[in-house]
Amino acid sequence: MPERLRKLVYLSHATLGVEMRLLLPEVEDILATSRRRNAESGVTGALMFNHGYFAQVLEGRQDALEATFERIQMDERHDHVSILAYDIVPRRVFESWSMGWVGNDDGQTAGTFAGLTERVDRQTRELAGERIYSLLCRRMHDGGA
Amino acid sequence: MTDHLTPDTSTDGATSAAGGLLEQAVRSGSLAIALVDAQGTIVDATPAFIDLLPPEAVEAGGALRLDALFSPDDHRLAAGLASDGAGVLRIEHSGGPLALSLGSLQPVGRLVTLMPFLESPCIDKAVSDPLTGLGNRNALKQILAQWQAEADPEAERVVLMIDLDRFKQVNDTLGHPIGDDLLVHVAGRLERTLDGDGAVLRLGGDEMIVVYRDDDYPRQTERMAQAIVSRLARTFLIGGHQIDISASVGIACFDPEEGDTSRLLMHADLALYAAKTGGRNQYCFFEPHLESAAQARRDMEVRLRRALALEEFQLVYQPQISLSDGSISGFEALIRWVSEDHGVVLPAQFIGLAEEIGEIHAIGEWAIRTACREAAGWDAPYSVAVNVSPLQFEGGRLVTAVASALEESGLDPGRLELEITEEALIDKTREILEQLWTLREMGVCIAMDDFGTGYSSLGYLRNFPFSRLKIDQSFVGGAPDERSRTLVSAILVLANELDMTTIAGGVETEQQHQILTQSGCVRAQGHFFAPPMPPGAIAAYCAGVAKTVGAG
Repeated sequence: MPERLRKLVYLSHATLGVEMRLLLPEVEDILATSRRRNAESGVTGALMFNHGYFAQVLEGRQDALEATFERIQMDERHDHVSILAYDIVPRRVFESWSMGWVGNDDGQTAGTFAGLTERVDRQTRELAGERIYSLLCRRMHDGGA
Repeated sequence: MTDHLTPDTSTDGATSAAGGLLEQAVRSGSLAIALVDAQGTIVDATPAFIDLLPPEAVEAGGALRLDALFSPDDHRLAAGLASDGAGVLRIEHSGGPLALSLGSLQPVGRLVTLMPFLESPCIDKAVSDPLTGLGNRNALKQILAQWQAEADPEAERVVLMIDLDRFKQVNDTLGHPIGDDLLVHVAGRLERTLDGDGAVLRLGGDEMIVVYRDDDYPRQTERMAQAIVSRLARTFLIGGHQIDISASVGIACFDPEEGDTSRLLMHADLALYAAKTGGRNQYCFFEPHLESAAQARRDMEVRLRRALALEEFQLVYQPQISLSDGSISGFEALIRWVSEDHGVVLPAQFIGLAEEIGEIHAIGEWAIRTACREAAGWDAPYSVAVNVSPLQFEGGRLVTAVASALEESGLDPGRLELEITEEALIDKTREILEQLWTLREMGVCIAMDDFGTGYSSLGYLRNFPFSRLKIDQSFVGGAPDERSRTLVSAILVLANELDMTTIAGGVETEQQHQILTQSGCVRAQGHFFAPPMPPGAIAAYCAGVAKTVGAG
């Protein structure tokens, strides 16, 4: 059972400040920590974020995924985590872990993450499934609950 | 600790400003720190340190020596001073054991600190819970004993008792291994929330407590309780399952005057109960009125448990009148508890408690048996209606109880009518329907009570052929309004189409009586006709009605 491959999709509210000056270092920190930890535990996927939301798609072995999620749940930089999918999958879609800026509220920031964002979009669509992917994108773009 | 203090302020000009601040903070803070010379004479000390020295040593004046803290035959200090290195000694003190940390010898002397001696947190089976690794009840005892031993005027010492609101459902539906895993996750979240600033303990089951010291009471405690509630309400992913629970938290403060730590836990428990009854997923502070309310409830519970044996229950009977001719068609049996301390107690005031403590089964069976026996003695074959609590369907005893009551009394089963509320059918509908069918096959009538309130689900009416529908008195009582009349008419049409007879409760006025009669309601009861009466008054009442009906 713990060997099972699963995918997890969630959406959460960011509790970070909306000022870019404060947001960017936090996001960089999240990125660095996630890269390291996810590489160690074999979790791949993508984190999408904008000023108000995080959306994450993760795939990995069940126990690794659950341990990762528990860490995510205790992170005070977000709250109101809603799980959109937690399913058994036959294979991985992401070969590594990446993140992207989603949202049209800041051209410069979007530019900073442009390359990643494109890849995130493509793979997230495949992993999350069309319905959840478009839901995620709509929520992230509109910033609306 | 001592190593951080040793870089001294005089040698390094660049840090002297910061060093001055540090010294200021050390002097005005609550840490017990002293500087001693190579022989153990105290050169300088913070007030907190002086406070820990024996008063007689301080009062004697003259040079204060570290050995005032040691008994004359204790040579460990001398040995420590003889070496240039650092070390920690455990010393006994009136306020509890202390850890005396002796810094290594510097040019200016040695720094010495005193702190409460904490047992090393080794995993000791006697004090730790094997599942979560948290401290257990024994660990709690130790902590409370420590609290009792030491005064702490600077802070409140707080207990937060935590109960998981839906833990049982997790165990029941996902199995105990997942339930256990959930407890481990909860323990982890609590420890993370506490962040080393106190202790998380598991007393058993899903009962966990947090003990800690709040020097900004109640603000810190409120933040902590809020954090616990919100973190435990976050989703868990365990064993491939998504698990959502919530937690209730009860908070109580240690009172050094109290001297009895069991009361502390009782207070936390009462606050927890208040949090749970207040809607769960919240925290509640202990307040004295919770204790008096719990005491009153407990007293009532004890008396209620004795009431059957003391024969304190009685049935009174309210007539049910046939609206076509005003004759008596039956009686509803209503229970009264005549308590020595409380006088006459109405069902609304004790049935809920009886259900909670499980007495409802015995009380309900008594009511059925008594109603059957008394009805069997009446002059005419009036029907007798008995209320049945939804809980009486649990355990399958109801059918047996009814059968034996009928057999003992010799009452015709067709005269017995059991009134059940819609609420009874909400959960475990299938099990309950089976019992209802059995009762119906025995010849007993089943009435749906209080129809029109609650869900008023027509599904229940489809699933079981009730013999009677009792229209809730809220549609009948008060000044009759158009909407209530319309609803009553609709219910009557519905009942008629489904072959159920009808009765309206709570009739108080001639006007209500007229309306119900015109609408085609079959039976009615209420103070307009007669209040509930003791069994001994029934014969005279019946004779009176017979005369009126006969004359009319």
